[in-house]
Amino acid sequence: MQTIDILKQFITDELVPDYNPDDLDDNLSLLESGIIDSLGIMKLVAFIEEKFQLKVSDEELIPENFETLSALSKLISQKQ
Amino acid sequence: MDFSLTKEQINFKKSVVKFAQRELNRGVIELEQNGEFSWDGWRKCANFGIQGLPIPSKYDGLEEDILTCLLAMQGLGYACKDSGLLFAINSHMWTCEIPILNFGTDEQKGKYLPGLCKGAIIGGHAMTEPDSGSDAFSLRSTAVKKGDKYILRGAKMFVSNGPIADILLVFAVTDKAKGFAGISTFIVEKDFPGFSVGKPLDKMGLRTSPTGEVILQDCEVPMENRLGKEGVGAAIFNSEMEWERSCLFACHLGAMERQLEACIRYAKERKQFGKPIGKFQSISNKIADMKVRLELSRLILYKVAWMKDQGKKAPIESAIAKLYLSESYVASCLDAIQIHGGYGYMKEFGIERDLRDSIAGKIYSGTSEIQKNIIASWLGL
Repeated sequence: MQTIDILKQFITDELVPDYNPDDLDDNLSLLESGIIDSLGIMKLVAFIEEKFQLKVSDEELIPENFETLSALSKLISQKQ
Repeated sequence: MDFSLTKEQINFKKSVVKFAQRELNRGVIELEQNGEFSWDGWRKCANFGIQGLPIPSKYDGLEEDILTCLLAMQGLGYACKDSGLLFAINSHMWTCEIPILNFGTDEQKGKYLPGLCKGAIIGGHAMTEPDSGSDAFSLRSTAVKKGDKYILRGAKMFVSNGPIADILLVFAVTDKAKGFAGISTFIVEKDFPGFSVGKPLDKMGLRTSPTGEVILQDCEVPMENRLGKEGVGAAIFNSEMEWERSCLFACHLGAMERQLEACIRYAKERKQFGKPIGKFQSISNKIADMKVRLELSRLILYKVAWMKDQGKKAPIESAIAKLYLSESYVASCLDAIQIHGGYGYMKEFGIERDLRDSIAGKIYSGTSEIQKNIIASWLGL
């Protein structure tokens, strides 16, 4: 499973159960669409840290890094 | 998990207790009645090193680990009767010093941390607004770039240390479309043009801790005073809250320890119907409840400290700790008053003051209800 697909699965399982993974475009703004809220980002970070065995610092929690699935995937690959 | 304390940690806590008993309790009843901040207590704590406990020595801090900080706060809560002073110190440390340490540039750390550690600069943060409390990230204050400055507009409410602060970490919206991720944080000095504070607010408890409104009327903040990148404000706030929910409430742990000891002493001395009141189950059960709350509070708080010491995030654990400690402290205050009967209701004994001070703990740093929402959300609900 590709990183983006893993993220899509988590987001649709845990954060927005009404969404289908296929509805999530890689470049859709997860912030402006309200898919990730302030609690959701904490859960997403905890998931990423555990699943990919890496550490995301608080300073990295800026829109450039988690606004879209593409940005998230890029952040993860940079850290692996 | 290993919560065992070193001899140094135990001795340090004892020295904090002795210091607080000797230096911080003079005139507390009058200060509380008049709603006055204890500048003397603030300076004495700074000289002892309290305000700089978690800060590296290169910035004039004591560079203590989190468990030692927590023990010091516990010692203060046990021995210092001026809860407002302790609240002001905690706000200063966890909502101003620590974010600057964790998110600041070297220049920001060099400029502000030594003064904050020495108590020469008083800090705090300004998040809550007249229309955004529990829904913290719905704040309306804005920050717009203009040349080499940001222009801040808005009003902040219930700002701890607001009336006495030299600097405040102000949260404002820099990109409305991005919601919580469009919030940024600024180090605002009290002398910046357009910054002003309202009168201190009169409160039910924590009366010696100045709280007020802050007005940002086209407040000019130099670009170099933005803390972290644009959009990192929510992460700064969440990080602060984790620290505050862990360390501030260590003072409550200390206070509950003091109350328990006082209640046991009183239940042994006070006689009614020919025997000590502690021999009646209606009293001894209350004291047992107080002991259970104290021990469980200690365990969850030390667990959070251990997690943070390991560099782990602890959002659910700190929410549980905050919720349990704040609710337990109120319950212990009520039990302590009931055990002391009429004497407990009198101002002279200080227990009624503890109760008034304790209520705020269920509201600040996120209400009990918000902590339950956080916990439930982590459980997938």
